[in-house]
Amino acid sequence: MSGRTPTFASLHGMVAAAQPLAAQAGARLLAAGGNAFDAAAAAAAALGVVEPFYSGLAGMGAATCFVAAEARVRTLDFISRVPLGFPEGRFHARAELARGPMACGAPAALAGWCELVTRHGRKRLPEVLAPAIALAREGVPMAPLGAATLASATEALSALPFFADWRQTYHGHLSGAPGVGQVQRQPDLARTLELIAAEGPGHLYGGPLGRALVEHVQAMGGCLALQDLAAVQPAWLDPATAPYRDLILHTPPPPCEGFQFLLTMRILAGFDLAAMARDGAEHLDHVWRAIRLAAGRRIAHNKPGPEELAELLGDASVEKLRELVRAPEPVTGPTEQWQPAAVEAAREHTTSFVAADREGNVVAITQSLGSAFGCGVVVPGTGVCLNNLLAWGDADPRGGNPLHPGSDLALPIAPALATREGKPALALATPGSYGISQTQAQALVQHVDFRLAVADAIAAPRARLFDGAHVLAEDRFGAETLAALAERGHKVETTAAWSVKAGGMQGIALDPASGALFGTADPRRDGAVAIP
Amino acid sequence: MDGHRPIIASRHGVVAAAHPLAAAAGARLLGKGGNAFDAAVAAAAAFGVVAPFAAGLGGVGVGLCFVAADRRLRSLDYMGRTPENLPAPPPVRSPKCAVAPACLAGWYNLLSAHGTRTLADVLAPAIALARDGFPLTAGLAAGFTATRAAQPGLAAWLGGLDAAPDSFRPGAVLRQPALAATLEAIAAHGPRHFYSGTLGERLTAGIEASGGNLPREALLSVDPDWGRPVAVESRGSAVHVPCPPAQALDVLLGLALLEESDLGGSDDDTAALLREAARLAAAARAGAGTDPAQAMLAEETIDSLRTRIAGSAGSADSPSPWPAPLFPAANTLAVADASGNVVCLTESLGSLGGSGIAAAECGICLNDVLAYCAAPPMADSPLGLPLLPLIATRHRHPVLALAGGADIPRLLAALTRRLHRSQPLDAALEVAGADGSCLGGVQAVALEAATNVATGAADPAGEGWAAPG
Repeated sequence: MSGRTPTFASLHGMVAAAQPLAAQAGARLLAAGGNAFDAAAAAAAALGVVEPFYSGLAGMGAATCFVAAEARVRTLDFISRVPLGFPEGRFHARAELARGPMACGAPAALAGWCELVTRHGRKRLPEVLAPAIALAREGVPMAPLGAATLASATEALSALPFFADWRQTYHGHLSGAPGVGQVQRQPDLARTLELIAAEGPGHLYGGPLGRALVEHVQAMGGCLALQDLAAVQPAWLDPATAPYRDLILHTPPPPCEGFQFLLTMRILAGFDLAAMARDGAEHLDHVWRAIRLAAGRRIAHNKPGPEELAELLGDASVEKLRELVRAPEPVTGPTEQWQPAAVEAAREHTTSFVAADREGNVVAITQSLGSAFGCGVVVPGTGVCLNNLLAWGDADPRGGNPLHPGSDLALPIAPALATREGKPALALATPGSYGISQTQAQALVQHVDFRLAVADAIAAPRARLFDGAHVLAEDRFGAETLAALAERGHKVETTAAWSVKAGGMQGIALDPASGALFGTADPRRDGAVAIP
Repeated sequence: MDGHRPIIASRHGVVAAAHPLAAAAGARLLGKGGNAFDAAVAAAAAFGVVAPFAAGLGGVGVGLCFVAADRRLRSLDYMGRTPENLPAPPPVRSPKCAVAPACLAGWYNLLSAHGTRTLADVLAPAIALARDGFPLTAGLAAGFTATRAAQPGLAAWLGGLDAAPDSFRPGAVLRQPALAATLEAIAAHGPRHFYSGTLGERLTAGIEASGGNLPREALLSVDPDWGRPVAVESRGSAVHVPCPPAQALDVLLGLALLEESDLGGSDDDTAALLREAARLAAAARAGAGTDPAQAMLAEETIDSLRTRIAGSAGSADSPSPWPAPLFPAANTLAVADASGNVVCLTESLGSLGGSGIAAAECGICLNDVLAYCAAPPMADSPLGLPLLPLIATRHRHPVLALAGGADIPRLLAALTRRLHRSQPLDAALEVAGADGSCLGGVQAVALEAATNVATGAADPAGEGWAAPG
């Protein structure tokens, strides 16, 4: 119950992921001479097998990378756009697009993985996909979180018309009743991955898998078309950046919403957090206020252009927010989306992982199917479960993230990389929807201001803020501290000592002088660090 | 999940070892298509590099394995034998208590009998760790620091390990070029280079120059023995320990004594029962004569002791049965592969820093394991060392492999929790008050025959970890 694992330290690279077999898949590529890009892609594909509910080849995501050969940070956006045939105006509430074929955007994850490998990796796709194929074919013993997620998704999807395909894929090859230790095989997915390994991503983009996928979605009434698949093109983008102490922080630029994380840190840079008692009311009050203020700015200025972003992160704007942190009045306001909505009970259905190699390349990725098992539609005979990307946009066109055909959607994923004097110092990534920018900020403060090792910084108790003044705090903070925070205006609700609502963060810290890597997987999930 | 360590389970095998880098080295071999024997040797060699004060080329060990191809259990004794003139009582941290290093011979025997890879292949991860270095973890840093404090004779060797000898601190990178060169030479020229070749000459000379004594004949005579394990039945399982069994018999007798005990009581009551079982077993061994297995596992012995344990719960403060100082650290590891092979090993140098003598130019620290023999040792007999790998089978399928050291109650706890009470593997290894500071401890692999899933778990009291294949 301590969250204690040994320290994972290596000079030879490492992969931290939310599932041990996926981390090992990445480490296997490193051991075979691959670099962090190969390892990240192998872990990404393996995650789609071992945690088929959180991500997969038909999902989407974003990467923040340090490219050692170019000595620079690059981000890769592999989030597809709203389908061109989306019937704008037909839907009015987010819930209408939670499940079913209309919720699905074009699969972009596979394109993203392939782009990482072809642009900066050194292995070929068959080698990168081999561990994922073996896992799909031989089967995977279910972990506690996986077994629980399969059970809850079965209940959630059972009344929907496409349930039979889904059930055949995820229950059809179980060694027994769903539960921890039972083996889940996915022979259809193994075959699909083998075809992709043999034929390349063209098997999906322009090939038979893409045609089968579109045909199935359209037959069920969805709007996804071949042209949407053809339009999938992962984009290398310069990161959004902000300084924090002696670090420069990098996240994917808008439309990704990671600038909220940057803005939070910009606000906090104005305070001497290290002088406060760690995990005391003063420390937490400052951090929670900064998080809420930054979330409010992100919601009010969603998808900012470069100039607007610069202004948001600029001194004048930040100083005003610091004033509000200092002010005696409580800070209240939204943390989620433009359209207030009841929080879905289990929203934390995304996964994050980090890979680093001995050459200094670092890759942090957050990838998702949207909700657990995405839109719930499985393309029959392929083992491929489709995403529900569109549930992340605003059906109401007045929102800041509207569902216009062909438009980019803003997603809260924010894999982060910090550099010191131009060299990578820390990579962090977590799932958790609108909690992502919140929990990464909390862990960064623990690591940078309170000097905790990355494993301890990620294990440290965290909170998840919601609309208004609502804060869900892990009870390890202690009743006395939380009562003091309530007095400062936070509506505190306590949750378990370790809650997935506070994220599932993976991290690697780097010592540029020695080349040592220190990795950790969040004790809130089933993850692990693998070393080649 | 929820603050627990993750469950490390796989259909491609698993390696549970006393340090993450050792587990990683083993998993790397599994990932490249090697089997459990390849992985076990890779992990053992890697541990000897990251914890050269606790294990490695200068040490001895014992292995127990299930060979899937012929469905049989075998043990491998590479502990060496008691010399004619053993000092009594044997002093710890003294070159008088060194035996000829046997680990390399053990590894080579395991590989040649059942492995699929060359010695060079399985030593590659260890060589990379020695050559390139590795960042010290807290437990390793503490181990190096304690060794330096206790063993002034190792100053030259320890001083040569690091550019800044005072920097055995967590995070510091440690490189061992001399050990890397030794391992590379072994990889290139085979174990004969070590036991009868020029490397052996250098080792002997280096030990002598440091004030020790390792005769060439002792090196030449190293010859591990394959044996047939000894077993007892316990509630539908058979628990096997290596032969010659030595202290491992304590586990078997202790288990037999607990056969009818209720271990579901309070933690304190259960711990007292386990300690009492271990104490009675050790006492029985002390009086067992020349055929301890026969004497200790005889029905009448078990029956009479069982009545004593039934009435003795709560007599918790019996003195430790162990005649020798408690083993400080060991290389413990358990491995399973996808084909059903299972290997568990326990190896050691004895004291931290062994005999306090090192051949610095070879990067090898020499053991003092004679100090840890059960008293009274008999001349030229197998060494009775507290190196305890064990494997439990059910219907002739392996279901559990454990590797541990001298803490018999601890092993009894793990066995009974898992075999009698079907607890999850990590719960079976749980230990009160664990602070993660000990090295070695108990590593375990559990196997499910129905699903061919291997689950690995490491001692939460140490820096151990399990890596999937």
